[in-house]
Amino acid sequence: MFIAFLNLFLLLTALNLSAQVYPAARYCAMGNTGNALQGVEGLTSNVAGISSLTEVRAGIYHQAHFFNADIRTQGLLLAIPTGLGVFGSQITNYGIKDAYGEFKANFSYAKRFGPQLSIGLAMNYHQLQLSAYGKSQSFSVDVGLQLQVKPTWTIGARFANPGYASYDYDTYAVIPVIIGLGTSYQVHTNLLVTADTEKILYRDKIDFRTGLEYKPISWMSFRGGIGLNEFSQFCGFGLVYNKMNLDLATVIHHRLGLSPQLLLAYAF
Amino acid sequence: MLSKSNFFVLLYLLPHLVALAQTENTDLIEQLVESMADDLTEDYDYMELTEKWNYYLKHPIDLNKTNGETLSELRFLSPLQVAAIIAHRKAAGPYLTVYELQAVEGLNVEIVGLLLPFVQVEQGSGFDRSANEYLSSGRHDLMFRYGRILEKQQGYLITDPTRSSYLGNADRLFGRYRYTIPQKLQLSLNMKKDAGEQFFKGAQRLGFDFYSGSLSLQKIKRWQQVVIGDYSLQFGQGLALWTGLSFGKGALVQHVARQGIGLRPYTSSNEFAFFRGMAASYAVRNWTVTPFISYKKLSATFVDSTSGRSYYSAIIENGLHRTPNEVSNRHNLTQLLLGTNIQYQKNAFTLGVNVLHTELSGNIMPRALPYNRYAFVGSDLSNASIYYHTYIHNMYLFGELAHSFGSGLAYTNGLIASLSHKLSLVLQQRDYQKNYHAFYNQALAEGSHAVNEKGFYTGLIFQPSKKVLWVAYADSFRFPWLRYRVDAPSSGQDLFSQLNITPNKKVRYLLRYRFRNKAENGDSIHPTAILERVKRQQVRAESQFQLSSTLTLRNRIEFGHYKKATEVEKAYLFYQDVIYKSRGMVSGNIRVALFKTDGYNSRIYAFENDVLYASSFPFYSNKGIRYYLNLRCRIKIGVDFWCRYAVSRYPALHELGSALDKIEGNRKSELKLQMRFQF
Repeated sequence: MFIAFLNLFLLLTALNLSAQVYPAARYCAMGNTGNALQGVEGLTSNVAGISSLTEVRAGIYHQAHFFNADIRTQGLLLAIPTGLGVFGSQITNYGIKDAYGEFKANFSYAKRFGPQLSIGLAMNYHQLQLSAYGKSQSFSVDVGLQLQVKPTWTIGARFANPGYASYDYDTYAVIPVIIGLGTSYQVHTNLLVTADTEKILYRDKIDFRTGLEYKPISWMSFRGGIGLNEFSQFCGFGLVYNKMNLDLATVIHHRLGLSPQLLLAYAF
Repeated sequence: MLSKSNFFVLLYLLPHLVALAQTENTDLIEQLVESMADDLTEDYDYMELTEKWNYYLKHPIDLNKTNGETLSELRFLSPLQVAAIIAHRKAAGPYLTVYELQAVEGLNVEIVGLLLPFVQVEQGSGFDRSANEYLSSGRHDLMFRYGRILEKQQGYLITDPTRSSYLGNADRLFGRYRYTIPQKLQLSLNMKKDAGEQFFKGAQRLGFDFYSGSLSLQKIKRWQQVVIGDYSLQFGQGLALWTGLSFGKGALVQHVARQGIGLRPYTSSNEFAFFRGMAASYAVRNWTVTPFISYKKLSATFVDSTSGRSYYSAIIENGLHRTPNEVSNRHNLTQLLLGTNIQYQKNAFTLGVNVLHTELSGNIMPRALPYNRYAFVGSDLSNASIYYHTYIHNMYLFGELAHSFGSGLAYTNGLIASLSHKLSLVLQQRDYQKNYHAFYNQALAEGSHAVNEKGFYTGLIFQPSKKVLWVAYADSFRFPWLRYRVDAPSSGQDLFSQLNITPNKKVRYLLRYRFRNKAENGDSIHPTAILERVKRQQVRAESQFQLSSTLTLRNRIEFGHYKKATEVEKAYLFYQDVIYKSRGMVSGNIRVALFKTDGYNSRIYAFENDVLYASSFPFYSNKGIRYYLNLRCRIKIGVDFWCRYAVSRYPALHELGSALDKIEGNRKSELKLQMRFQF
């Protein structure tokens, strides 16, 4: 009975948190911040973040929400730099196996305008699957920009789903409209600090988050962060071996427990 | 090492730094005191801290001799900073001058400024002084303090012997004597009578209600410290064995790591957390052994059960013996404590073990309420703990694991890492089981004792430039079992952020925000309480201007917000301080404070200047005005006089306080007089 109740609770909470799909491991470990960060993970946060990539990158990731194998996010990332800018694509699936799924596929493009400004655009295809009810689909757009004020200081902003796209029938699942602002500061060559604030428009809350990344040795990083509104802690580490990246992150929700994520990326 | 040009810059800066340090001592005490538990009584004695500082002002720590322990005693250095000072000496050779501290990595101007008055580099040291030389360097320090609330309180007016009343008069008396031979011997005696306690009468027929004394000998061959009389012990992270001051969460983020200073003579006037008997620290190579024995009388609430088995429901820690009831419980329970600490230290690594056994002359049995279900019951308790701390590169790691035999476990681990010279990170994890018991447990916790709690603390210290310092922490905690007024397992957060800006040596700004979120029983009339979230917010802005070498202005505005379900309280406090400090005969300071709070829940705490060695950390509640004047008069060298007069006025009220402390009228005033002789 208790387990059933717990499952129901987790399910409802999970649905309610459906917008809370975390970005890829590195950003996730840094307190779910990424508005002013650069990297292939930008595909899961501020798309302008992929603009500085110089080599093709591909990644795959998996996140188990609340340490429950049934609720999970899985995704693929791909970014291809070209003379015209950086093209990217992301495919993710969030949900409960055989019961509920939010599928998202996008096509992104980001470009640098001068040494300081980057702008990115993503077009998303969303599909909602509820095993008992069928499917619904929709399209949305994300825009993002980043400004490198100084070599050590970047600010970023993103607007996800400014067109208020939604599924065509009333469910808990919505395509969140997110306005995010963030900053990152390179305190030292091996230390990066970030702070983000994000507002999901249909919610009252504004979330404040902060994170840091510390690289004691060139092939290893430690990361940590905190989200204040809906208090959560984040931590993780990253390893680099030749062209391979392994990032591990976990969200520690003060009530719901751990949500670990693993990302494996390769630079071609 | 310092370059020549840096050296001259420092020589130029030095007087400013010292001036800065003097005005900042008060701020530092405030920051430290604030981080102590909220529920300490208003007249809790923090003087241990000021006494220590005054001692080291007179007898500065020799940078070339200290092993770091004495530096930790100052309480404002983080373990990493202490380590850096020692490491610099090892790397660059003995300090030639105290100004060389500037070259130590990890010490900023502000910290060096604070530290300079307390340290020295002794020239030509190393020879042994004769016994006569030692004796002639001995100093006597004698001090008396008198205090009284000038208005009549209800407890003193009741003459009906069938009702509770204060048996003694409203005078507060305190006497203190020290004889010190620096680094060799200290003789301490404290005497205290609280307001309402009798004097040379009744239960206090020997005069004062509380006497405390000790003789402490230091560094006699391998005996590091021997104390006969009252002493305190601070080991590890405070889970098993810690008495005296301990600081918790607050603006000094690095205090999350406890820096135990081991055995010390007890010099505070708080009447509970100390040991009485004998203890000694004996050092052989890397090992230090500290056996201790203590036998003392406690006051506890006695319950005379009709079934014939009497017991004690709680140990009373406040040391007040004013009413017939309090007097009847006075010293009605004895406590015998035996134990030892063994510590191993090599280079940067310390590992220690505490083992102790406590025996009481009666049974403790808290009231049979659900939240007491796992509380300590019985008359004897054995504890053991193991702790460590170590430095690895730029990191300080610390932790302790403690066990109370027959019941629970508690452990904590943490680190302070200076990730760059601008940013330090502090992490602490803790898990204290609901059935972990220890009488002298003062580890870092959200609750008043480190029990029934799990938590994780993250703190940051960010100093982007010499003028800006930002500290922040987030602490998330859970209480797995019920607590007083919380009838279910609960959780909460404590968030803190403070920005200090020092545009130049004479101006300082501070901005602080704190948010606390906890659960508490709702105020419903249902027999089963439903928990409500209690959210407290605090915003503080403060500025300080040093107008001249003698005159400083300081003001603060603080807003408070309290919310529990639909109940909301708001509060503000504003004060202006004028501080006059001169090398002449008279110094003093004045505060005028205006405050308004919607209720008791939104009360605002603010530190107040007091006579030397005393401190006040009162809360301001209701609506009114409070002002005080502190004067210090140096009558001649070695003879000082202090006077403090403080008044609170509440225009809208007709009576203040409650029960025996009730005052008719809207005014409460207090006078303190203090005299000190040093010879």
